[in-house]
Amino acid sequence: MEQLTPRKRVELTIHHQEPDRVPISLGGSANHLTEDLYQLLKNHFGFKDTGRRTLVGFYSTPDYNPLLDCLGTDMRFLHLRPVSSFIMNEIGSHFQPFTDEWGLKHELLSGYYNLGGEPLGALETIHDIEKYPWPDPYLPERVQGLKAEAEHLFNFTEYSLVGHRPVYGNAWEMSRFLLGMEKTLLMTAKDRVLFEAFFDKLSDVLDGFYDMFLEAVGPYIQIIEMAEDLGTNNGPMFNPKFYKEVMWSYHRRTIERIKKKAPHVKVMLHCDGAIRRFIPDLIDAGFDILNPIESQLVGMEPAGLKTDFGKDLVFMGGVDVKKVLTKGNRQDIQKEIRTRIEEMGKGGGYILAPSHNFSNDVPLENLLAFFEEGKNLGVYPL
Amino acid sequence: MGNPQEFIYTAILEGDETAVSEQVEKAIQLGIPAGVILNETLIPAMAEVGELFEKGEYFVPEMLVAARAMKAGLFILKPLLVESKNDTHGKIAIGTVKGDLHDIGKNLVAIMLEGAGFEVVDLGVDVPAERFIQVVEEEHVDIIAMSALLTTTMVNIEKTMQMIQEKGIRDQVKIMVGGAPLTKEYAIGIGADGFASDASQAAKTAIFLMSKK
Repeated sequence: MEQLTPRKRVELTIHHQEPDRVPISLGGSANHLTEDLYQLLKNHFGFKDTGRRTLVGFYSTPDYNPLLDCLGTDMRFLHLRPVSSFIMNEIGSHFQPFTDEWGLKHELLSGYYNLGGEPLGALETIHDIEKYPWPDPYLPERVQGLKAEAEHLFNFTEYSLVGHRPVYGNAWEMSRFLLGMEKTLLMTAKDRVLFEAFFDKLSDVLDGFYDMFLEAVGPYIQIIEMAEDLGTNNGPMFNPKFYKEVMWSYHRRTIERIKKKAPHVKVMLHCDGAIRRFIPDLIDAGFDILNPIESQLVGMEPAGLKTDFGKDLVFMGGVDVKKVLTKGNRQDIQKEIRTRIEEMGKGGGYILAPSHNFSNDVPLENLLAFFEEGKNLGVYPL
Repeated sequence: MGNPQEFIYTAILEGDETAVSEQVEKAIQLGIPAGVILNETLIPAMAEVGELFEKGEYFVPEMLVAARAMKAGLFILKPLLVESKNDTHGKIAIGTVKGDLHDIGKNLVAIMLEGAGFEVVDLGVDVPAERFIQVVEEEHVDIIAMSALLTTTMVNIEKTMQMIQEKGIRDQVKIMVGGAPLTKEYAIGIGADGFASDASQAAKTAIFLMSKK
């Protein structure tokens, strides 16, 4: 097959058709580099840093675009702008802790970015929900220059454009930050009425962020991200029945709203963990793409996922970062990529990416091998 | 009417804190020794919670509410247990290793260890090797339980073990390890005595290790 543009390649992939080769991604959710790895790659390729930082979830990274050009990946990401009070900390340099518009504290603890403070940790009543100073999603500064950037990338490049998640996380993720993990989990078991009232209000606010974002980038993107971590290493974090009874309708609501505004856009869910038991309901809620596929966990074996859900879901991720990319050699990486592509790439519907963010213990040669081999081994027909 | 111990058992499984407190009081009034209530009701109830968790019928929230209910009962029993010099099943120091701040899993393990009748010393997160050594030397814990969530911090489990070895106190303490990137093979490879992949397994592992002491 003749070589396709990255945009066409991704277009076919997300519509479950085989393109010229499996697309490769870097820069999306669970698809990031550490600051050190970015520097390592920057020194290796010798490209010029744009000096711009982008908001990815709750922290910021350097602008990856010059690096992505060097690596030859297929997607470019668009990011909602942070508000003026947000500090775009460079993790390697002097870190300034601050409290954001949600009341969450951004700190660097032992070298790791931490989001703390649990500003709604004392939530007891519906009144507490009402009186909380929720952020205004519709602040114009959130989309400053964004439409022009999206338009430019759309018209003057051939990349596939993706809307990086415009929120730290969706309602479950944000509940964990705002209420604290233990309180959130306890509320699901003990105080469902309060939990639903909270979830409802939170979803309204978060939907506003998606509205704002899509107003600017909707016509140009092919994929938009959502992010919820619903799983542990061993299984669901809470009863899947609770997902269906409570959370499902909120996800569906958000997705319907996205698709109403941008009907051509596919919705990706970033969700870590062993989440197989949630998948039928996630499909039912309207998610089109699942990331990051922690392939070594129980129930997350890619071949099984493809057989059972491949008709409805596109998979993005799966290349083991815990063992293979950190400790393997080039042959191990080739084998891992080949296996993942064989398992998930048939008939399209697979985007090559790691099973989670690249951590500091991934050596430079392995990083480079991942992108080089990904392009070599992903050529269709498989 | 069933006896209070049956009620306590059910109330723990259902995570009903108030009912557990009421029924524990009632059991005490009926003259049931605190040690019996603990060993024959509270601990077996939490063991069943662990079983249900492993079977995929209970999830973390159910485990948390059950543990809270169990703790409500334990709170009433504790002074009586001290009075009657009831021994715990052993003393465990637990912590997330240096450089790692993740504590959700570690906290669940601590809860299930308490539920299994252990005295738990929670050292928190980002725990330096020196602190683990200190609790072995000064508090004579039977077991150290270390956790790490990141591939970049799990090396500190190994380092802590080496330091314990170098201090010459390795034979005084059993060491169990866990956390997302760890495997049984890794645990064996670094010379740990036990490994668990979830909180319920951790309680079983600790009981097993105590039987080997």
